[in-house]
Amino acid sequence: MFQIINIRKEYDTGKRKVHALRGVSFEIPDGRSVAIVGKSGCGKSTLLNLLGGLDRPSDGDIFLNGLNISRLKSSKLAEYRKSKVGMIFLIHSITAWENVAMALAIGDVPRRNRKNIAKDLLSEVGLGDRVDHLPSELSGGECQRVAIARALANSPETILADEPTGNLDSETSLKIMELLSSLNKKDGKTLIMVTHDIEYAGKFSDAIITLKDGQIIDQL
Amino acid sequence: MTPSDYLLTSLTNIRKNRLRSILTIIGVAVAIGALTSMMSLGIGLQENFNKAIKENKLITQITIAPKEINGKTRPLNDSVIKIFSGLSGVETAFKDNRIPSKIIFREIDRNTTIKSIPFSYEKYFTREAYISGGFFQSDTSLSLIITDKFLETLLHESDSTLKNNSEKTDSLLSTLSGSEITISAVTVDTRIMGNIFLAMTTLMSNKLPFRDSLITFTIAGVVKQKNMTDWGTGIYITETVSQKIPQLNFENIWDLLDKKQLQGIQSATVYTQGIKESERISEQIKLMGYNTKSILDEMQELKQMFFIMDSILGAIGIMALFIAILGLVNTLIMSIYERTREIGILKSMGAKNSQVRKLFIIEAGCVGLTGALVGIPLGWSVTRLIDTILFSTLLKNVDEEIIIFSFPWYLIAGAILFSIFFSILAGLYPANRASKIDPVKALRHE
Repeated sequence: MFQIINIRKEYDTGKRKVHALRGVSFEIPDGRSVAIVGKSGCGKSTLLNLLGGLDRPSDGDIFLNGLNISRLKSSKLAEYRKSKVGMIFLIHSITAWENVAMALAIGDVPRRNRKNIAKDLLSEVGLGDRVDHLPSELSGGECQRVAIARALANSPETILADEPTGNLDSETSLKIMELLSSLNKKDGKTLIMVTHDIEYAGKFSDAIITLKDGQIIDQL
Repeated sequence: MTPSDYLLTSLTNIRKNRLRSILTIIGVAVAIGALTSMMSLGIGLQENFNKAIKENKLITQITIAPKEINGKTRPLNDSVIKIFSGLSGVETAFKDNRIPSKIIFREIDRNTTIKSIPFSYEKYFTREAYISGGFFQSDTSLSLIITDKFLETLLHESDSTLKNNSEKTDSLLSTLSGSEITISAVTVDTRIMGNIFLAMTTLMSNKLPFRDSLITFTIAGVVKQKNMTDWGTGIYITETVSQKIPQLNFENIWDLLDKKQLQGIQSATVYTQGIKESERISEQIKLMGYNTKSILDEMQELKQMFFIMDSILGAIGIMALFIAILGLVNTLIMSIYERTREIGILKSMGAKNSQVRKLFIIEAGCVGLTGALVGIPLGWSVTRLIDTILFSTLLKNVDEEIIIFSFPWYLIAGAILFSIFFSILAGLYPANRASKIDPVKALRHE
C-alpha cells in the first residue's frame, strides 16, 4: 500500500520558487487503480515521479508497504525503481524486444533467458509478431504496448503511467486503457496513471485524485 | 548488468552513431599510429645499437694501457696480464700484439699489421660471423683469419674487373678459405748485425741490416669485418704462432726511439663474463694503476641520448593522442546530449548512477581499443613504407642489416593499453556527467 503523507515539492528556478506540490496526502491500497487528473502544471506528473522514485519530496514521506522511499539513498532508490515499480517509457533507438531485454538486463535476469521473456511479454501485449521492429516502424499504440511490456519486465507490483493515451486516437487509446486495466484487474497490479482524460479516468480507475495548484481538491 | 551487457550496449551506441564514431576512432587510430611509429623508430635505433654492440662483443671488452702517474709508468707485461686473467669475472686477458708485415696474395703484396689473438677467442665468433671457413684448427697451425673487407681489397687489386662486380666478389669471398697467403716478416739480419765488419759494410753501402722471412699461411676463415673489435687490422693469427714470426718490436721509428715502449706491452685486452663484471673489473684495473677504456664509458651518455630521443618522439605522439582524446571527449559529450532521455529511461528502469557511468567509460574504452587496433597496423604500414623508400634510395648500397623501425610485442601491447587507458581517462568526465543527470529532467528532454 502506498501512503503519501503531506508531501511538498518545491523547485528553485533561480528567480523564484515553484511550489509544485503543497502538502498532498492520500493512500492507495495494493491492487487498486488510481487516476490522477488535473490541468497542466497542477503537479500530477511531479507526484507520479515522486511515487516512481525518480525524485524526492522537499518535505513529507512516501511509504510503500512500510518502506519510506523518500528517505532512501540513491542506490536503494534505484533498486526500488528496478523491482517495485514499472514506468511506461520507451527507448526509440533499439528494437521492441531489446527495450524489454534492457529492463531485464538491469534487473539482472540472465542473458540466455531475456529474449524468450521479452517475446512472451510482447506477445501478452499483442505484439508477438513485432518483436524485431524499431519503435519508428511501429504505430503510436504499438509503441505504448512495447513500453507497457518493458514496464512489466521485472514483475513490479505497481505500474506508473504518465499520459498513457496522449497523442493516440480514441480507438487506440481505448485498447491501451483496456490493456492497462487488465493488468490491474487480472494480474492484481496497482495502477497509478496521470491523465487529462476524465472519461477514461472514470471508466478504468477505482479512484480519481484531482489536483489543482499542487493540492488535492477532490478525491473520489 | 553483466560486463557483456555493458560491452554490447556500448558497441550498440558506437554503431548507432556510425559516422561520428568512425571519425573519432580514426582520430585515435592516427594518434596511436603516430605514437607507435615514433616509438618504433626510437626502439629500432636502440636495437640496432645494441645488436651492433652484441655482435662485436664490445660490451665485455676492456682495453688496458699503461698510465703515467707522477712521471712514473707502471709497466704492462705478461705477469700483469696473468694477474688480469686471474681476476674474478675475467674470461680472458691477452696482450695486444701487432706485427707489421707485408702480405702476398695472388702476386699482390701489401703492407699491413697482423694482430695476434688468443686461441680462446673462438667463443666470440658465432657461426654466422664467417663468410667461409672457420676458426683456427689449432693454436699452432699456420693459418689466419681474414676480414671480408680486407680480402675484398686484395681481390680488387688482383683483378680490377671485380671492382664493379660485387656479386662475383661475394661469391669469390665465400670460396677462399683454404687459399694461401704469404706473410713476409721483416727482421734484423743477425748474420749481419752479429758481425761488426759486415754490419759496417752494409750500412756504409746504404743498405739496411734487415731481411725478409717468408711464411705461408692458409686462410682458416673469412670473417665479416663487423664482427671484429679491431677494425684497424684485417688479418688475425694465434698468439702462439705470432711468437714464431720473426719481428721487429716496433711499429715505426718513433716506437724504436721511445724508451718507455721497450719497458713492456703497449696495450692489452680483457674480456669479461658480462656487463656487470665489466664495470667492476674496469674499476679494479684502474685501481691497479692502468688506464682502461670500454664501451661502458660511452654507454651512459648513449643511454641518456636514447632516453631524450624516446621522450621527444613519445611527446610528439602523445600530443597527437591528446588531440584525439579531446575529440573523444567531444563525441561522448555530444552523445550525452543526444541520449539524455535514454539515460533518464535507463534510470527509471532502475539503472544506478554507477551503471550509467560504466556504460560511458566502457564506450570510451571500446573507442580506445578499436583506435589502437586500427592505429597499430596503420603505424606499422607507414614505417614499412618509409623502410622501403629508404632502402631503395638512401640506404641502397648498405649491405649491413639495419633496423630503422622495430615493433616489439611490448610496444604493441603498450600502445593498446595506453590507448584504452587514455580513452577511459577521457571518458571519465562525460561518464560522470551522464551518471549525474537528473532522471526527471532527462525524461522531459526531447
